[in-house]
Amino acid sequence: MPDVNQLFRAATEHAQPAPGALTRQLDAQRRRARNRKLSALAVAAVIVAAIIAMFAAAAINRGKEGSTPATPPGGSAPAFSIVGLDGTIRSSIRTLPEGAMTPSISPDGTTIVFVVEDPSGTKLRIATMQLDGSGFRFLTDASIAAWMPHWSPDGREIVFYRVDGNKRYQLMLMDADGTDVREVLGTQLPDDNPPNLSPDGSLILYTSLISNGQQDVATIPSTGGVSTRLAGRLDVREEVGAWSPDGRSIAYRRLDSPDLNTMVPTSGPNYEIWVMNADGSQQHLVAAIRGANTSSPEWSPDGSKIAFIGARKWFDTLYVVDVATGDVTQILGGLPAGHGKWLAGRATWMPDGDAVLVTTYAH
Amino acid sequence: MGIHEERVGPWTSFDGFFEEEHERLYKALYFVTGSRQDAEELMQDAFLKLWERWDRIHTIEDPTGYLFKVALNGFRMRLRRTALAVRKPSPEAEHRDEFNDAEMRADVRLLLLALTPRQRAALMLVDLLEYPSDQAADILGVRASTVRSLATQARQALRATEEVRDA
Repeated sequence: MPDVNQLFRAATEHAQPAPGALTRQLDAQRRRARNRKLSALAVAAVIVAAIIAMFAAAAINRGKEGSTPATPPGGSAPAFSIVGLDGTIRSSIRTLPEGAMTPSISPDGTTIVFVVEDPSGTKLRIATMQLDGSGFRFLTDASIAAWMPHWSPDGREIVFYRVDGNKRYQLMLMDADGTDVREVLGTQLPDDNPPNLSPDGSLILYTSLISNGQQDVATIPSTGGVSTRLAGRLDVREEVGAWSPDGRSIAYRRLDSPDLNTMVPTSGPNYEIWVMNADGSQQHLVAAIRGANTSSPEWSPDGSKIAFIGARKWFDTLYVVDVATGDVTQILGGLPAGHGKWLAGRATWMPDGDAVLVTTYAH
Repeated sequence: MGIHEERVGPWTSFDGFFEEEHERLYKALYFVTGSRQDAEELMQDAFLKLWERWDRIHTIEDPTGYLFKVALNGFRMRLRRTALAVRKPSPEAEHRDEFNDAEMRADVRLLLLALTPRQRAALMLVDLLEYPSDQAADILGVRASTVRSLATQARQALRATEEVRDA
């Protein structure tokens, strides 16, 4: 039998570790150390996320019950989410640019237009991205603040507000790619309510500021010109109008006995969702939420429902009302608080009419 | 009172230990696996495991033995994965061309190929590193009787191959 030691030497005499074995070993050690740190961070992040999710889930449940949570839901970052009418979150864009808010889905359901804080943090800019979160691009430049973008019904234009260097507020139109920007109306009165294009694109529904505290929903030709006030009452506050898909009706929010210092009352008069004919007639209440200000009515594609936001002190809730019956369904609570204004709360319908795009927390 | 220093061996650092031991380990793993790449990967993994315990190295009675044990344990796990892959056809299940080394003498390669990797591992532990069969069994994760059997089979295979070669 051959000697095993001799066999070993003969077998391995030319087998040498490749040059630089120690260097490779040290590299491997560095990778291992880094991976261990990342693993530790990941574990810590999972624990933190679980805690946040628990708080957020608790907040949602409280929202479902219609009560006011004692603390704001959680510290989690906002996300743009597709929410089914059964309250399930179908998908979310969890990684949003800093200060992303007021998303609006294009009529074909592919593109989101929204407001984002300029990286300098001094200006609001309008941007778009695809429904999967890809393709982010600014539509407006950093030299002028722009907000409240909303798609035209044909998806070719975006209506929005901006303010120039002279603090002149402008109701604007631009093409969907950010080109051909033109002014429809200029005013010295600040407005942060979302404008809305009529189904045929000929008129823009906007909030006409008559004086501080007095306002009305009004229309103006999209090419500019003379405004027409619709609701016509100065003793109530009417704003944030939205055209029905057939152009015959307008939903808006209305506040009786307006108290200008109380945007989010916990009791007393609240904003309510009303509907009127396009000529201002037949004004009637369709939805009111006790203890919450309603905002941002948006018609479903078939015109049978209106999605709206109920704003409470710590969180917003998504509701849908059946226009014919007035039945209100609470869809999802625990949404980031928009305080009834434009900061977060808005729900726009997906084309199939069985889900809406809304800002949620990134669960 | 002076500073107490744990003596961990003749090495002053992990790097020194690596320089001292890596070539021998590499050769041993090449002898067992028949693959330079496998030997390199198993060696690196074994040193990584030891490096992670380097602050407690003084608790290990025989760091070199521990290193070989870890390396051969890795080899054993790799064999197990390969066996599983053979049952489920996959690229990993392809037969490896062991000792495919142009510099190796043909008669040496013939002898090595007469043995299975497990037999070579047992032979190395028992005959080359002179581990008792129970310790070798612990390293290979088998019974001591299996180690003895593997080593005996290996010697018989070497003898038979040599007789055929010399005939």
